[in-house]
Amino acid sequence: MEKLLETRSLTKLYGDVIGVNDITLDLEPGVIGLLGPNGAGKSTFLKLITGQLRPTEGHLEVLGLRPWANMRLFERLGLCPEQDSFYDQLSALEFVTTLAKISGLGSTARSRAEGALERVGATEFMRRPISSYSKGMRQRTKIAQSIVHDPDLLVLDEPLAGTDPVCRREIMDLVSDLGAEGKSILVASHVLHEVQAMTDEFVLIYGGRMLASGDVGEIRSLMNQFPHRITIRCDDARKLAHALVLEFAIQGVEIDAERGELNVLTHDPGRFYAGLPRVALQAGVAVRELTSEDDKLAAVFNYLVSVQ
Amino acid sequence: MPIAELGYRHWEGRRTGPLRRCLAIARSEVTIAFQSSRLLRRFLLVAWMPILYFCPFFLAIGYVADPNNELESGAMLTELAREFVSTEVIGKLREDPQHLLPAIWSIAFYLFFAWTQSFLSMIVVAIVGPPLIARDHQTKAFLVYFSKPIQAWQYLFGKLSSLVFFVFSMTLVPALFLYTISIALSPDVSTLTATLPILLEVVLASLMTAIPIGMVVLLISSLTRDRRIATFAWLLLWIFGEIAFRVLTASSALSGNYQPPAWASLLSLRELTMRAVSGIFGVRGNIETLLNELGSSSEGLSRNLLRLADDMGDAAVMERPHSVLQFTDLAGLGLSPGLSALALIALSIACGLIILRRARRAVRI
Repeated sequence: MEKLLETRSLTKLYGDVIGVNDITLDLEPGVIGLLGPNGAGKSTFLKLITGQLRPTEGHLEVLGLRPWANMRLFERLGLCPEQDSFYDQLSALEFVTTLAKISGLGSTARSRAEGALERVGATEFMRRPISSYSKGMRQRTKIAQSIVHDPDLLVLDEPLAGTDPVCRREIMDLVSDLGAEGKSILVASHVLHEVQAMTDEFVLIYGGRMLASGDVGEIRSLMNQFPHRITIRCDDARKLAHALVLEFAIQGVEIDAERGELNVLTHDPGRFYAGLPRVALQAGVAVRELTSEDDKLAAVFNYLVSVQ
Repeated sequence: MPIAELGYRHWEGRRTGPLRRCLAIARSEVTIAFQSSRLLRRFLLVAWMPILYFCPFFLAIGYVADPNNELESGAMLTELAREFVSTEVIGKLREDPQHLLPAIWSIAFYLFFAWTQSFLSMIVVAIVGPPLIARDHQTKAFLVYFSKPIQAWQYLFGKLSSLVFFVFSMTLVPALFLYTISIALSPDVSTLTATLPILLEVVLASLMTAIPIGMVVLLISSLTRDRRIATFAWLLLWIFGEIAFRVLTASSALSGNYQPPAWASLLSLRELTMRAVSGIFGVRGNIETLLNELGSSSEGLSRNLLRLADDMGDAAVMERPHSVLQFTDLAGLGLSPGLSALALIALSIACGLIILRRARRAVRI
């Protein structure tokens, strides 16, 4: 089977600044999460993969082709960039149709654009100017333009950034469906649990270097000794802390009664998130806000770097 | 009963060629320009106004050139023709229309380009051109464009095509309109064959007007993310270039030397363009033809020739309004049409190369 990605000592320098440093990697087709904190080199890595940058050193093949300015590869590749690369005056339908024509779809471009926009749930607003769109609508439009020419490899750079929970769920489902249809998808993000909802395969990048790659079990095992810190704002922190300690294996609890906050340390955040609503309901405590800085990959990466 | 799949359909068709992909960019830019500028729509209407002057000229000349038409029965058109040329010229024209009409038409088309449409083209380019690449810098649309199977030259060609569309809509399209009217009123079919090369001249002149200024404005647009800065820079380049050329020409005339330095034409993009266009229409040769054919009766043309001379910056002719016969010599001053065309082509290529280089770099930002 054709490899999705093959790199050998891949390096990209911007003058004296290292963007990507000596990455050697083999990826098979499938849905893969590219994880790394902001500034880790994800965008540079994606630009190398999508042929928009030429490697300074090393070898890179995507779908068996060298990507730099390779039109044959571009026909098989769809990119959803992080930035809103739009013309606000156009409607989503006009924008996606134009990009479909640029991809060579010709007379079928418009119907293909309508199909792609329907696929991402944008039919309702696709004839309105993009300037009137919410962040979620813009994300859907960007994804539609990336799938309109039916690419074999879809590269999504922070596809969930700034989206509301409903849109987030829909995009996650879309990625999962496309993956199930046999598309290869590379999803870049700095939020672990978001990517985890779409795939079990990860590549971790930190400081321009590849830190680890593998499935979620392998990465979780690396992180087992690293407790997650979850902050809960509620109307009775003591009562909720008591209920949580009884229910979960928790490594530590800190109560900030003045601010009505509860900080919980746990090794199993997935189980904790799943069970929290039930526990809070049983305890009769209203949870107002739930945040976890540890979900930010920077913390995970700092930990992984520290244990190396 | 088979159940049809309602979901997303896979693409199995044949991809279109590079030209159609470029035109998709052009079409998108034209749509954006029309949607975002009410001024542009109004301006394009205004840009057709010169037709109101040139249309009667072609109508009248076409009418009087036909020996089958009675001059007295078409009194209005005859009088109109006399506004442009003398009675003697009309007489010569009726004797040998196939020989003289192409020369007169060529000069008229040149004047159409030189007097008004070149100036209007500079304005429409100032409205449409500055955001074309600056906007892609600002919105990072480069990322999307260059992830598609399109090369940098196709991107540039698409952008340029949108500018060419607008310039053509005020040069080529009205010129073809004038030509069609003229042919419709021409004495016989032989006029069509005699004047067919003018069609090619009109197309070449439109290209020579659109492409160099298009490439320069695209270069300016590629240097910034702010369309306002690009617009300002374009206006500065155009207006200061024009002023510098006029000042040099005037100072040459005041010093008694009627010859502005040849390089002065390089200061003004419009002047350079018009010199190249005058070469395409063979203005000098056509004037010589008329003067040779008409001899002393060519006085009737003097007024229009003087206006032509004024447009070409030949202050010397304005100083000596009766020296029509010397006009063709004076018109040859400054940079020759051929060199002007070469300068414009070199300028366009240089701008294109810089833009392509910058387009690739922009992806890194």
